[in-house]
Amino acid sequence: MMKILVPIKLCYDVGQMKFDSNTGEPILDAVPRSMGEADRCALEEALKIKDSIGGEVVVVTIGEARTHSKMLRDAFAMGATGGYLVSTGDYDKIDLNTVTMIFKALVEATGPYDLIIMGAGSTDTHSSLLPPMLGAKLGIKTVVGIDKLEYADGEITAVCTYGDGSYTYKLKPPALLSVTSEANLPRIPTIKDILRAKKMKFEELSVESLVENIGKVDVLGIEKYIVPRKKLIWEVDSEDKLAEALENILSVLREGV
Amino acid sequence: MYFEFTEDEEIFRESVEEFSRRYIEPIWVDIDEKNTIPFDLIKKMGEQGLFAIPVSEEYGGMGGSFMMTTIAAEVIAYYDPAVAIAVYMLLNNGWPMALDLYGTDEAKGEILPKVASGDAFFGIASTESHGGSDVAGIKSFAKKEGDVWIANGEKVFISGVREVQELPAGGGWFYLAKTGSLDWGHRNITAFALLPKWNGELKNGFKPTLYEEIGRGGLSSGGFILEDFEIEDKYRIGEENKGFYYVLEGFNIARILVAAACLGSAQWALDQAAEWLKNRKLFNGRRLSSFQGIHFRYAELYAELEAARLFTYRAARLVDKLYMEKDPTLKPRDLNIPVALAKLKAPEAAVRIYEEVLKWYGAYGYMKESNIYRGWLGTFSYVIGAEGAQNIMRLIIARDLLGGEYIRE
Amino acid sequence: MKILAYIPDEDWIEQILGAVEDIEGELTAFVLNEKLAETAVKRFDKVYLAKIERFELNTVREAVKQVLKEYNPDILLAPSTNKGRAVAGTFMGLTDAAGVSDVIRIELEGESMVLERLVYGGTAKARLKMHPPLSICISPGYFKMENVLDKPGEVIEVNVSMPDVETVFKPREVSENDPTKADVVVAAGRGVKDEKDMEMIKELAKALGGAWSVTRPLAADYGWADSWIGISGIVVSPKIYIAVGISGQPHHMMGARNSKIIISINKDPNAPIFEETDYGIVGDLYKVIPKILEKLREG
Ligand SMILES: Cc1cc2nc3c(=O)[nH]c(=O)nc-3n(C[C@H](O)[C@H](O)[C@H](O)COP(=O)(O)OP(=O)(O)OC[C@H]3O[C@@H](n4cnc5c(N)ncnc54)[C@H](O)[C@@H]3O)c2cc1C
Ligand SMILES: Cc1cc2nc3c(=O)[nH]c(=O)nc-3n(C[C@H](O)[C@H](O)[C@H](O)COP(=O)(O)OP(=O)(O)OC[C@H]3O[C@@H](n4cnc5c(N)ncnc54)[C@H](O)[C@@H]3O)c2cc1C
Repeated sequence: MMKILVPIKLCYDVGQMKFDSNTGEPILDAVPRSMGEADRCALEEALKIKDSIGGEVVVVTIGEARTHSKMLRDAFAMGATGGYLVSTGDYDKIDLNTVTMIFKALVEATGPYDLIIMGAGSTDTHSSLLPPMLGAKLGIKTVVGIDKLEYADGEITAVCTYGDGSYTYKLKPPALLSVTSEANLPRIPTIKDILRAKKMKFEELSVESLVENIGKVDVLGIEKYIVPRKKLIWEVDSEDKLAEALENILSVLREGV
Repeated sequence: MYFEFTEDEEIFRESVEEFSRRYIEPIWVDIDEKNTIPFDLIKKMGEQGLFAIPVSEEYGGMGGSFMMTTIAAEVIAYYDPAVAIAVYMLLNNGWPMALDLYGTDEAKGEILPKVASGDAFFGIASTESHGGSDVAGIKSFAKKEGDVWIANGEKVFISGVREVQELPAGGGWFYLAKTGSLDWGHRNITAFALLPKWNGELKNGFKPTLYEEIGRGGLSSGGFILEDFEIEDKYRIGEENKGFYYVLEGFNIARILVAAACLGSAQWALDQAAEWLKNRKLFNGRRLSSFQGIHFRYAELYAELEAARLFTYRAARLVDKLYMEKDPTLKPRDLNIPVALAKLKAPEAAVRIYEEVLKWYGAYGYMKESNIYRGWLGTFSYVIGAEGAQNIMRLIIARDLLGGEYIRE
Repeated sequence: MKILAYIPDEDWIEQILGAVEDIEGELTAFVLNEKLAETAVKRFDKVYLAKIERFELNTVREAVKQVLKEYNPDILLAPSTNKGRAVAGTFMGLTDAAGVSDVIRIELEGESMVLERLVYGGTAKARLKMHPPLSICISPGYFKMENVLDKPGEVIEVNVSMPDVETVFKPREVSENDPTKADVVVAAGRGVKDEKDMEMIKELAKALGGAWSVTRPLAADYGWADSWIGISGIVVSPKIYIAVGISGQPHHMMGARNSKIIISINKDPNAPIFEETDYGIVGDLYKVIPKILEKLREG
């Protein structure tokens, strides 16, 4: 029996970003959002442990019922047994320290948890700082960026790929683990799962009940990121065109090498 | 688009999208080329709960709504614009639902769980060679002898003839035959669950044949002749000589799903076209999308598709109100016009969109590798008629609006 | 300002120093092995050395705590890599410092700093105003030290506790193929249909004296390579990047965008990669690549 907490974030689908053609600013309202890719993999890892030895998998997110309840229900449909919504309308603006303090307070109020499993990075901002921060803040053993996770006989085996090679860590709970989107192919809830989840409820907690100070990120501006490129494109529908294109490209290659 | 979906419908849509991205999108062209849907995909769809969605859980169904079924057909067709998988899926939802409404408990308990798991197929066999639009004129005949019916006659253009023979459990169709007399008319038709192969066993008196279609390659169509084929009375669907009315309800259900499949496929085509128009440059670097002749047409086609989408969603909601919520103010015939509007408009919008998109692509659209033609040929089956010809939709609308007596002269 | 920089390996020294070249202050490095400390000490005022042979975050956390007892930096600098982010996040958790990663530009504005970072899968950049204490993870390839300054630094060793997390390390096989260091990178995408066709890609890389890599599906799904380029893989910043049969999705481009010149070959004129291309060929890679190889052989 394990009690596992999985923090999840509502993320923009960065493959569908739209930008204002005049200002270059993102038009975020037009971009669909759903649970972060790596968060979903984290949930899958937690559910696998629950499936094999039993226990609870509790999800938590910070946001508003209006926008976030669907994601929580999605997590229920996958198999989460409970969930918290830390409610605030400013969920997109609060800084990492506040998020860390919120999760710390939540762990203290609703824990203890044997494991906290989270996505290594969020799909949209991908800073990957939160897991090591929270681990340090809670003072529990932490492994980040896990590509392969196993739990057997009370022991966690975590394989991570860092720049210089692969690391295999063995440790025992309690621990905080962050997994990458390579860790698994998350289950897709079936229609029966979805209908069952419809009847489940999540608990709403106000952000003020968990933290006193709410720090916000001071964003001066966001705009489309463009690296200027020459955009010399040849459509090679004939041998001549191909020869012309190759001539140009080869001269670039010869210069470069 | 704005249309109010419930949270679970939205989660369901995302789940079918993910399923389709994972298991359908990578192989749809291959399926269309090789003319067969791999059984392991069908099995996966069964595990995912994509068959018998609106069928009650008691009979192995998913206990889902009809709106969810509609969403699934739309999404799957987006990832399989050639629509074979979508049609396979929608047949195995619409007709099991019709069986669930009027079949005997015994037949339902036997058939529906196998359809739900993907081990069996259950479609519709009504069309005969004298003309599919004229259901009242069918010539198949079933005679009762003791506890069994002896059926004779020929059906043509029937989807699933190969699948029924090849699936592990087999399957069959919601089948119509004359029972009272052979006269032209509505009141002498009885519906049956016809199972030429069942529990893996091919029965006597079933003579199938296969046709070659120009589109939706993954799903077979064929015909069959029944020669003294025995149907146990437990497989009779509803009351004797009322089959015509049941099949109309079944058609209404299936037509909405057909419309949904056309929407999904056409949306794929429009999305492909959007990328093409935005990036294709001509006449000194002008994007195709910058020509008014093009972007006006794009907007018009989108409007047609969106209108059809609203027709389809409304019809789907009505089905849920009538059959799931059992709204006492609704009757099956109240679906006629809403459904006919959806089935009239969605396939036509799809075909119009494909014809335009093919032209926008220029010569590349005419090349097999662009794959646009697959969606065109696939959706074209539905302006021809599968699940009811377009003129029949017009007939239904006109009859219900003007009154039958004013159009039958 | 007091700056503490986590340096995972030698390659990062120049980039880290480049990031803070315009900021006056004390430069301190935090390293995990002795050899690196010896190199770093020539460029930093002070080097904290925690001898941790195999990276293990909990042991590193204890070492960071030791350093913080003696040295309280205004800014922690680290690379935006797995290890860099792990150390930066640990520092933030221990100190309540603010922090950002994927930073591509740093400006000082009085007491505060204006940072540019990549967001939304690298499709956008955000300008943020932040105040020290602050942790900054820099994106690979954006910063380079202009003036090399020799510093008469000192190495201070910090005590490390024995890790209670068992750690097994398998170094990345040192192959000659290292796209992160090469001047030319040839990358293959799903346009390459068969594993055996990768030979053509490798041959091109070899002919150009460069390295080869792939997009994620080719590595993660087909297993044709051990690593890939992109947000969840490696980041490359060669002089020339050649994208062969790659569509150019944001996740991938985040790892390739910093290349000086991008050349792409794709049969689809609408492939998003052409929006980010310097020299492109719309055509079948199976026709184009052999032709290029032929020409290169001709000399
Ligand atoms: C791909 C495909 C799959 C099919 N699968 C099945 C299946 O699984 N089961 C099944 O039972 N059938 C199936 N059919 C048959 C389908 O239901 C019939 O094609 C449809 O009912 C039309 O019948 P028909 O082809 O005989 O055309 P007809 O009925 O001969 O109609 C020919 C034309 O006349 C028009 N028309 C007919 N009546 C009128 C009228 N009163 N006023 C004005 N115009 C009229 C029609 O609109 C049509 O354009 C399938 C068809 C196709 C193309
Ligand atoms: C959270 C997350 C993280 C991700 N991280 C990464 C990452 O780090 N790196 C990464 O690469 N991807 C990543 N992805 C996946 C990414 O979104 C894309 O799916 C992937 O980059 C596409 O790879 P591709 O360009 O090879 O394939 P495709 O998008 O399929 O493109 C293949 C291209 O080849 C062209 N082509 C086909 N045949 C030929 C031919 N004969 N000649 C010329 N051209 C041809 C086609 O026109 C097409 O444009 C991530 C995805 C997610 C969700």
